[in-house]
Amino acid sequence: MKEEKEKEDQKEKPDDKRKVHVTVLYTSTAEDKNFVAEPDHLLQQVVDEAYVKLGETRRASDQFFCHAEPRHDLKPYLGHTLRAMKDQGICVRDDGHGTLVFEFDIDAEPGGAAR
Amino acid sequence: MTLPSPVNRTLAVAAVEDFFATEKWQRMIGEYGWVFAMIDPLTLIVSLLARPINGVREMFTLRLACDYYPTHPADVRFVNPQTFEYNPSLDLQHVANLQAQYCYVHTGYGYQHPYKYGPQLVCSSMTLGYYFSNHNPTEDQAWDPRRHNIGSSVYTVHRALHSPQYHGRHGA
Repeated sequence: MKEEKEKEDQKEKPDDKRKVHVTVLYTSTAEDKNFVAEPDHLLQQVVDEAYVKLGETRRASDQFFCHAEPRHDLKPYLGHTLRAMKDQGICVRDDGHGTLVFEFDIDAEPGGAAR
Repeated sequence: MTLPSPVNRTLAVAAVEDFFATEKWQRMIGEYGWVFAMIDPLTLIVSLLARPINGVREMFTLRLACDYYPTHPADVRFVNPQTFEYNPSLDLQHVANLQAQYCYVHTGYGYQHPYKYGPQLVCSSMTLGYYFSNHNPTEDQAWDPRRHNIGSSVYTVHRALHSPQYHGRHGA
């Protein structure tokens, strides 16, 4: 009941007030974490929080992708708010039940060589 | 670098079983549509799809040899889906042309030391051949058996198959 009411409350809020439910997947270990972010948070802040939740250290070569296909490269959007990303149709979406969701992957870079 | 040594078979088999028992990896397998089969307890076959090119979505077959696992990654090779083998003079079309920096496929690599799974090299620090081919990862890139497993290796190939660095089949 409580959960349903929360969903109803979320549905009634305008986009700029609704919290965003974030899921991050660290692909090389299949570890995932969920947390809630404010829509006016920058993607950079969300990424920073994701590393803390995962207990991982960020490396310069790490890449961020929208989890859903096509996997948008999210690096160009690190300075954007989640709200702006939703407005641009980049990865942040309404799940159809009034909840804003943002699912993204962190791909760590293994070594490799063309020679 | 010192060449790796095979792992005690009982430990290796148990590690493979552990991978299949891990719920989070089962979710990944289901979501990405990887299909696993087993030739023997340390030899796995995996089918996986690539991103579409010109509307065509190709499927590839990998053979994973896990006799150095989990201390080291599995050997990963593209194979003929009929024979589960790789013959460089017959099977090039079964090998994906991957040119990602983190996963580059050589159809006939010049190994400096004898390597029983050559001559193909799926060059990534998540595959065994990398460590037999005179490549040295940074500490961050290296295989870590406490963090990585068979899924990490398969995901690396899956990722490359869905990237712009996938260029269809070799020999096509």
